[in-house]
Amino acid sequence: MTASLEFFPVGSGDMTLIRLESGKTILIDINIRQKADQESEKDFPDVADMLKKRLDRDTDGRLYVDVFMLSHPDQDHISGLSRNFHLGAPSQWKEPEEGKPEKIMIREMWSSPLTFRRADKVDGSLTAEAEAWKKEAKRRVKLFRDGDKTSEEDGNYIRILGEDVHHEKTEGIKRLLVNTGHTLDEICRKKDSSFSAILLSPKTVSAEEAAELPGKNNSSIVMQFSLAAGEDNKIAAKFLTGGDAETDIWKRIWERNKEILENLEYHILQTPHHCSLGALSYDRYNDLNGKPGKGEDCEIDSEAYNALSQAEDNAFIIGSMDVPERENGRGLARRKYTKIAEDVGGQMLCTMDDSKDKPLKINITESGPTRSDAKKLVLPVPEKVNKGTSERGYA
Amino acid sequence: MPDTQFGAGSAFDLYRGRLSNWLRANMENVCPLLPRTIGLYNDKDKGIITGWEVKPPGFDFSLRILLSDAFPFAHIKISYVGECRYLQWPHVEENGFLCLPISGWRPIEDLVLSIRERIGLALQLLDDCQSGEYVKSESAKEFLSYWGRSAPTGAKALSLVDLSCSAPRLVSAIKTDKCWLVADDKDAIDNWLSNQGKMPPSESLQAIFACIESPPALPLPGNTKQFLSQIVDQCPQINSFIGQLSIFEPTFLFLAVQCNGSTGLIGAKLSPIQENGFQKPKRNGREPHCSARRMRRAWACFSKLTLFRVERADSEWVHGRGLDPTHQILANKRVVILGCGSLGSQVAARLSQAGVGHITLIDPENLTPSNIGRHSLGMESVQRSKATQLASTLSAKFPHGSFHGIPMAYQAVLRENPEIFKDADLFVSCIAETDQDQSWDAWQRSEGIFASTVYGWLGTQGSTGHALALTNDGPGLSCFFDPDGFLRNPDTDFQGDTRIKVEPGCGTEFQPYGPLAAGQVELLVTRLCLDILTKKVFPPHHRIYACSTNDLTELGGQWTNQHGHHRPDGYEGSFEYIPPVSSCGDCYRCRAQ
Repeated sequence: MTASLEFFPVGSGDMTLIRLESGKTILIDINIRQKADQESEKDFPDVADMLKKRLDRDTDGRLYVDVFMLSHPDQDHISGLSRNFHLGAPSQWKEPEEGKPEKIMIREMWSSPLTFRRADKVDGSLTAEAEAWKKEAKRRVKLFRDGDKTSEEDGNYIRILGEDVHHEKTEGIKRLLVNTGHTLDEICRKKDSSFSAILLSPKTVSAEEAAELPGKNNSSIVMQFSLAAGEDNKIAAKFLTGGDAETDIWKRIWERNKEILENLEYHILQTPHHCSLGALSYDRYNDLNGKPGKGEDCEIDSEAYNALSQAEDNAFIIGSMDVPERENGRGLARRKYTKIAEDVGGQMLCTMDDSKDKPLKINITESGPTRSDAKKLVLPVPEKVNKGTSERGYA
Repeated sequence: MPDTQFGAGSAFDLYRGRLSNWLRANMENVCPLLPRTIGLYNDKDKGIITGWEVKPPGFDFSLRILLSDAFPFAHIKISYVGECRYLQWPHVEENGFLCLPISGWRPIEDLVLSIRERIGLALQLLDDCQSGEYVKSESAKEFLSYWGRSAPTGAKALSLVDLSCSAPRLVSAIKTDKCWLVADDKDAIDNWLSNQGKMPPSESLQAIFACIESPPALPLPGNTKQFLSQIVDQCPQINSFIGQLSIFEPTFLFLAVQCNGSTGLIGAKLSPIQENGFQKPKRNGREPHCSARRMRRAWACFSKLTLFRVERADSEWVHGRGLDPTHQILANKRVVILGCGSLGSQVAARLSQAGVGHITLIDPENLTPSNIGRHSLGMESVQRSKATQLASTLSAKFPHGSFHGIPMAYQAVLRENPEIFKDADLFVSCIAETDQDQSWDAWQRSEGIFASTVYGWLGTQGSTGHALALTNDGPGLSCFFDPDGFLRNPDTDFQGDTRIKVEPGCGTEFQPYGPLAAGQVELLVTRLCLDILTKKVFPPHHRIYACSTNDLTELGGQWTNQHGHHRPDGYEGSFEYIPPVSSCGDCYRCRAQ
């Protein structure tokens, strides 16, 4: 069996499905445009349909993801949430009405509270979808805080990712917390040996630091997944993903992890902020509001670059975007990522270029990640050896 | 409450997830099944609760991979998606569900080997089904299933026909409120129904029974012509019966086929011919004369065929699915049970379950509420005769048998109807009163009654149980009991306390043992009865059940030295043993000799 990563062709935005060796699914962000309602979106493939075909149904016939991790609540990471996912008590799930999409159960949410706390102060109000996520997260936390037994039920569980040292709201929910630098190896309350994930960000140590890191982007969840393949659950690939985290965050991540580089190594990197130059540099490539852009002279921040360049041999670097024009920030960033990949014999791929009509899939096999998806049926099996008893337990 | 059986973290969920991964890595077009599709397979036998549709690479059809609620301990199920092959291909059920062998790798042992093996078996079956020879030979092995599934709803019959006689013959069929009944003659049907307290219908229909050599195979006959040529022509004598019957009456054919060491039955109903130029019966009831050949042609051309599912309800099938070599012996045996109390009623129930065909039950007492805890009858029979109520209950349960209840003491029966005892093959006395039993023993000897008697009783507090078979020759019951009713060679010692209790106000005396103690002895006695009826053992013969030492200690007793001779060294559990049986030399009979 194999694990896999699938990057959906959502244009500019993120939507990634991890299928673990154990069969568990982790969905990171969604950008499901409502095609029917928006004439301008008709060129985008129906990623909701693609996602639903990749999910299993529980014994009540409901499609489900084991985990939905929202990196941060920007619209291009959460679009389509309330239309395609069930929010509320699991018992309230209903068959879809005629013409409406079927709703997916989220067995367990992974959410960062920092994202929402800062969003109110720095970025203005949250979108309706972000508010819906927040409301659902609060519902699940309240169940747990109240000692409600159903908080352990599929569809009610939540893990809180990220440390907020100057915030007191985490009292009484320690079991749900995953602090930055810590490893998460549970899904739906059970240890899953086919993966582990180190939380690299968000982390704030002071109110001052919070003020220095404005915007929802910088409260993105940054995580390095170790993914196993094969019967022995041996780690076969590492996947680094960081939402829309920008240079400041990557600098801090480097500072915290430069002595433990294995935390930053990857076989697959999802380029932050859809290959935005903002993850590698403070400079702007193009002119903006009368300020001249620096073009090719943009200075690449060495620490952020270091944090994002710990590629293993034959690594894949995935940009969830169209192939950018050469003469813009994304084009420059793409060239930087391409160089990182090529230096280790790997590839830089763009979802909308290399796999426009279906998710860009990386299979994680025992020998590492591969794009090969050839299927060949091997059926002969060794004959089962009788253990030497003929007494049936039940006649 | 969290769904611990199927929810996240359950064995089901864990293996389902891994299976989903394997399918997505190795199959094409993997898609989880919608609940309405799952519903096609979610009957009580299959219990399918989730699944996927997949296309095996290199094949141009899809399969459904189905998981039951017993996954991963049960095999993965598979159905074929394509043109309906139900009742066309063997081992293919409704909605393409494939009946695959139950042997092989279980998911819990090795999930990958299991799914590979299942898919391999499915593809092999579908490939085999391209061969007409395979379809014929495999479907013939399971002809009852295919025949029954081809029959329309409601076209079902119960057969009481005696299959030990294979000769083709005319039999009777009648319609009841639930289904058709077929038996060798109408009397058998009437008895069967009246034993269940039902009124038999007045008229029966013409029907033919015969045995055929080869089981029917797919494709099954779709009309009377095919039925006659494919099935009936295996037994040409049927044609002569067909020639004798009226073509203007509905006619049943019941055909027996040997398979897997037992016999299965299929049925068909031929509709009466009413049109197409055939003359209807004249008013005087006489029909126009036709040759058998012409009659058969008329049946073939103008009669409509309805296949019938036939379920055997004859004694041989009920008692051992046609595979019990002792059935014919037991079905013809006549057993008289004296005493239908807590032990006798249970022994009667067991003997009837074992297939003893004729049981007479004798007991003068009515059932009381205090009996019910150990008796096979329940509250609905309170204040009614134990003997007649038990006979009635057993008749309803086994309507092919003969159960007769006499609410009298056996002494009264001896006076008024002694012939009941003359043709018995075995007597069973569970009266549990030694003077009564000794009196019976004396009568049996004086009359020279040849049949043996098995005496069954429980020892003090139910700590022991006895099944003692005696004849009118050799040791008598008095060799085992002293005149006061105490055992000459007891296993237990309760320090002189008999532990007998009495219901308040001069009520009944009783031993306060429970149903479990009685159950042990019920089996002890029944086994000995069956062994004697089938001539595995011969009287005199004695079997004793002894409880565990712990149980005896709790009851306040201890083992005697005599018991110590039989109990294995160091063993303190319950067990049965067979002591030697000999005359005591001390009782009135021995002294007289």
